[in-house]
Amino acid sequence: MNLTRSHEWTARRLLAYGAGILAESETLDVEQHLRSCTECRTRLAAIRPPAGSDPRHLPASLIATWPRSSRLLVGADRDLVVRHLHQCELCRASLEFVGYSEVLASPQHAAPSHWARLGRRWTAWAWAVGVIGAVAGAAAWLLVNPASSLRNRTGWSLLDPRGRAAAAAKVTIETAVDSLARSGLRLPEPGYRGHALDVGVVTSISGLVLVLPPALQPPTPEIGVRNMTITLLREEQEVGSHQGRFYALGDAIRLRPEDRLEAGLYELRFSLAPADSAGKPLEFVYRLRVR
Amino acid sequence: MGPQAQNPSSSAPEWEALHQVARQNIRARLRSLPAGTVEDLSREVLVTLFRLSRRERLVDPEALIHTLAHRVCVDHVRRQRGPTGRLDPVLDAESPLEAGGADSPSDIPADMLELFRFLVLERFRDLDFPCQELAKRFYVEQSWSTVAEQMGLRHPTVIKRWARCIQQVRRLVRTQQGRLWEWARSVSPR
Repeated sequence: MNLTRSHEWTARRLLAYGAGILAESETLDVEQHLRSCTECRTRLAAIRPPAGSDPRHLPASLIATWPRSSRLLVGADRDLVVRHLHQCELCRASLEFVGYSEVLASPQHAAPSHWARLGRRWTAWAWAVGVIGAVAGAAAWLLVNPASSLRNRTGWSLLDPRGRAAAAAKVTIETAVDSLARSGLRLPEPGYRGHALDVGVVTSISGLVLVLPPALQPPTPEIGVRNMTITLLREEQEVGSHQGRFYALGDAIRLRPEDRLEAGLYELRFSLAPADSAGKPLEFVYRLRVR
Repeated sequence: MGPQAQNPSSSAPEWEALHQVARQNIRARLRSLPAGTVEDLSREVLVTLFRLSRRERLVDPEALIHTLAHRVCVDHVRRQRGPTGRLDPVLDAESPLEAGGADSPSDIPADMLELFRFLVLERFRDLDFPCQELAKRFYVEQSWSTVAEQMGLRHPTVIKRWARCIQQVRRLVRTQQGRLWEWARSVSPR
């Protein structure tokens, strides 16, 4: 690699290098170039943390623009910030200093960019295969498990305003959280007939991360845009609910109670809206035992 | 800001006056900034100053503001250029700066690079203390050679250890949604 090419190549990677996310071989190449290139070293100096800042604390730019910036935090990142604030007096004091409370603004839901990109790339035959596969999968699942996991949604459903008004939500259901979060519980495929899943103690600090099985991932973009309602019930009383697009579920969800979740048996229901008004919602039910 | 400011020491700085100095410094460096952005950046300067004041008594806060305001303006220009923009060298504090592109105070106000570093450190705090130590040293020094020297290790050894640490985060960069991860994808070369 000649010096000029190496210079351009390095310049395009300085931000990734500064974030520490380059691959091992690229990191070695960048460092080799930096040794001989004053200009790149000077450019890199621009992203060193300034004097007085500590990367272990919330960035000053985040605190200074907290109501707008905290909206960008979603999933596990949001949890990490909440936990940090809970433990870090300096960051709490910094927020108070600029006149903001430590409460994060409601998250901004990202557009389904990967679905959009996927949709653009899919050819007609791929769409056909996907739809047929989804239909076949659903049909097979219905044959195996006709009663317990698929029900016609009527009566107390969240889609029913009566059900929604029945009880105030006490548990927040967050979607698209980090599926690699520590202590996440992997949900079995729908149709699971075993005992209730033992989820241990659920508190407001960590909540309960549930990693979704493939059946709870949209098989096609068309199905992905349908509404998915998640409801958490205890003794037939709704204690939490969430409604959004199927694709927005992501790989994992989190149940976060206002306080410690009362011990007992809970039902977690996923209800996928039908493709048209004549259809019936598809429902997946899990039983959870909270200690 | 101002009325809520707490006195961090017995000789508490005049925060409102310092805030005004920060605004003036920023306006002088980036003349075309909208008022909202000037307010964001001046507040950012004040947050750093406040944190410094918690650590030690501020001898000459106005001089510090001068330095911090310059750095905040340099960072602002970088943020405006976006994740694929080239980095500029840090010029001396008197050099004028050119704001890059359209300025919209509501668009990604936080510094994504700093936020990304913070969240990587927080993840490692949970999962792996040695990785957190590596990350902390690298984010401060921005040089694996220096980190290797500090830790008495060979340069390739440190980079190899880091590659193992960051593997999971690199996977998240490829898969996670949200503005922060989109930013991380944008800075990662294809």
